[in-house]
Amino acid sequence: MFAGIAYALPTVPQRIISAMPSITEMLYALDLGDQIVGVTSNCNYPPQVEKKAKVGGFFLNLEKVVSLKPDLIVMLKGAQDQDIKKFKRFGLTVYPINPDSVKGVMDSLIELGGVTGKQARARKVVQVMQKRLGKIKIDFKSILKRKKVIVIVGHKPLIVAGAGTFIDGILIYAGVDNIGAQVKGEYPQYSLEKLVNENPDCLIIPQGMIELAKIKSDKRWRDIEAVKNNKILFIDPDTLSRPGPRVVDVVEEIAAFVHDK
Amino acid sequence: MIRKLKKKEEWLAIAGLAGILLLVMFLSLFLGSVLISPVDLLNSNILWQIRLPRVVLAAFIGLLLSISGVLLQGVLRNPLADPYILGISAGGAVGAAISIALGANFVVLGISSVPAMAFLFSLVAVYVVYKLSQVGGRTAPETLILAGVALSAFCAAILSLIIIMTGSLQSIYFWLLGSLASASWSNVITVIPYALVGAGVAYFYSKELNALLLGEEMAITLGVDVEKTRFILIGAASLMAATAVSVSGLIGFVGLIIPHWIRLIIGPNHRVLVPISALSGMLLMVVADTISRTILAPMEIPIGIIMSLVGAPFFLYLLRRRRIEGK
Amino acid sequence: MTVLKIENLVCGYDPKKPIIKGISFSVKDGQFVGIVGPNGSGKTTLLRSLVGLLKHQDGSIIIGNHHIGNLDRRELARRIAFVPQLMEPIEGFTVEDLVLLGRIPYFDRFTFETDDDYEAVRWAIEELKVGKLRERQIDELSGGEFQRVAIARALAQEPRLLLLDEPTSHLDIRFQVTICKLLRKLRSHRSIVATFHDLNLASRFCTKLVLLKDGEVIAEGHPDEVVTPQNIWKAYRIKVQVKKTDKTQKTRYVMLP
Repeated sequence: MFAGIAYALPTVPQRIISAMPSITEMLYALDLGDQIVGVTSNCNYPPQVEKKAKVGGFFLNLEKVVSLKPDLIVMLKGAQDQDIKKFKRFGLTVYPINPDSVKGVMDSLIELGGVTGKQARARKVVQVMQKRLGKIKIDFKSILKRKKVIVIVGHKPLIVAGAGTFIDGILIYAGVDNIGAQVKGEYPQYSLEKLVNENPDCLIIPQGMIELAKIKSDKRWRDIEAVKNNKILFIDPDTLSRPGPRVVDVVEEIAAFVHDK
Repeated sequence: MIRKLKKKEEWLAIAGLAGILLLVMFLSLFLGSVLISPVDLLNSNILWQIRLPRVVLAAFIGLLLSISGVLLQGVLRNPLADPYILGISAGGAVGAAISIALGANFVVLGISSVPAMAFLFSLVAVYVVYKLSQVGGRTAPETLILAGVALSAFCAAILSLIIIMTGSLQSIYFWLLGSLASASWSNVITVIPYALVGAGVAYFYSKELNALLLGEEMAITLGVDVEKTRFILIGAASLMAATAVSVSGLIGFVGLIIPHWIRLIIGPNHRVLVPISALSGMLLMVVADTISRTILAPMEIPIGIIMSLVGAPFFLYLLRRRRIEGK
Repeated sequence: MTVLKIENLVCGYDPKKPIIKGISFSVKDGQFVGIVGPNGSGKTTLLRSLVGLLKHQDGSIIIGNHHIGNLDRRELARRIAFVPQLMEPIEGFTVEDLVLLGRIPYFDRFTFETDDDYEAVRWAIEELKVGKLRERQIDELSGGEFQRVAIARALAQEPRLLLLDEPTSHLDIRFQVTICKLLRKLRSHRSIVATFHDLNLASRFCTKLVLLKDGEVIAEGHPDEVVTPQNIWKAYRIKVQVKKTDKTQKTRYVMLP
């Protein structure tokens, strides 16, 4: 966990551009809202973000970025490598982070804190997160039988969250068994009959993907424990897939729902 | 290696193939990503609601695609014709993509939005291709094919545009790969009428298809209304392909290869070619679907991948053997 | 009995430039009519209009007692059968399969071959003496054999009128004669109209000739009457001598050096 000053910023950045919704949320968590001059069109939290200038979607518009005269652009390492290279060539200061897990989010927050002169704030935020996660751990330690859960990210065809994914990490922190982890691949197409046979206690489904009534009326799904007992959690798709500070909210929500708290 | 079958042999082959098909379908009910004893199976939802409709659907999709292929290869007189050549796949993909991207969630006549849109757009695409190719009341096969190619390219561009603008790449990609994983009884009910009507039309138009083997002009001298025949057969083939595409996405290979393969074995007489291609297509789909849902269980492999991986090399082998045996 | 009567026929591919500019002639039962003339005279166009491949612009074509326009396709196909100049052999078909195609004008929507159809096929194959080739693949036949099978297919249509487009043009001499002899025999129950490139062959075997030039009939009648130096000059622009062969007394021409 390096303090991030490989990029040796001379001063605390005053004009920051965020290239991902998760990064935007992290910046706000670090109290850097005022220093943000540009975000993507996918950024939607917190609500204040609406007033900020938009510099693109997943791919950023170079001209727009340059016109905002940023002194720091925070981007996603890996997926956005192409743009990172492009901007660096242009002489812009780019800081790539890669929050690919719950722990990764916390590490990234510390890193960002280091780069932006908000070390103290970052440490505080992460401390709170760790405390909340710790509480959940204590809560479910007393449970004898772990609940079986599956997160469905695609309906037709049936796609679930597999082992090693961000969502899988969330489930681990929530103290549940991810049925999808048995399969190779991060987001594998899963066999429906296996799902029925595994009989999960809970289903987690992003809002808007399918209606509850449809699931309950489908003869193939009807007999699954989770469907019979109405233990289907419809979750905000943004928080489920966004590696940002709200990840702990998701862990809490899932833990509460599954363990009936 | 082409053996002309005598009348009795024909019936034997058809009956035999049908028997094998039923046997394979029955056996495949015991296979899946979950190991269940036959006794438990009888009572389980997995058999009646998941495996059985899926196996039956696979068979019918096989029928739809292979007969569609036979018809189009016969009418267009082009051995490279497959059910999608006149824009069915391109149109269907655009329809499905629009539905997926918009997150549409309506139900029409018991069919949900993605299949309904795919079906609709497939037929619109074929209609456009047909009308564009119609010159003075006549549609020449070459023109139809070229128009189909052009329209497909256009639709592919629109598809890419939709993907880029809405970011729904993954769902659309999976749809394009073709899958029977979500098969349900309502799918089967949707598909059956098209399968039966399409098969009937193809069988009873065998004589016209045979006449077309001599060429369009000779067929006319034999009393065949070539333009009307083309219209009916393209219509039937398109409805069948559009139905297949709307229910299970793009499953390639079957419609192109099965007619060829069977023609290599028993010759081009459509009276036998149609039923045997249909049965073979059904058998192939059931086997491929069984593989796709068991080989890496519980992961599902899109069936189109299985088809191409196994079938294409086999077909090349068949072709090579025939060339060696000697034309 | 008149099988075919053509009156003032005008037809072509471009309405403004008809290829056939007013032809009249008739064909009686049992005649073997040869249509001859230079390239571009309209021989093939004439055949195509008789078979329903080309709609004529003016004049009338009467087959038996019917105007061609009043007959639907199938009825026409049961009266007139066409043998094209070149036919692609269908891979995977046997001789029998091919001849059976000739019965298509008789098939119902929902029935396939009946015993009558098989009988017609058997008879056609025998008439053309290709019985031994019955089970052979047609893409393995020689040119002469294939031509006979093609004619058998047309015969299976049980037509009153058999039309052939240059039936001998791509065959070697021996088969040319064989086919012509065969056609001459076949006329006992029907009429035959064939286009010919080879004037000698036509005049040797046909019972009547029609000489075309530029879409018009220059001469019509017995080969002796049609094949004259004057007619040949008018049609082909070449000076020839006309003699009769010694044995058969058939007319033939000889080119001048």
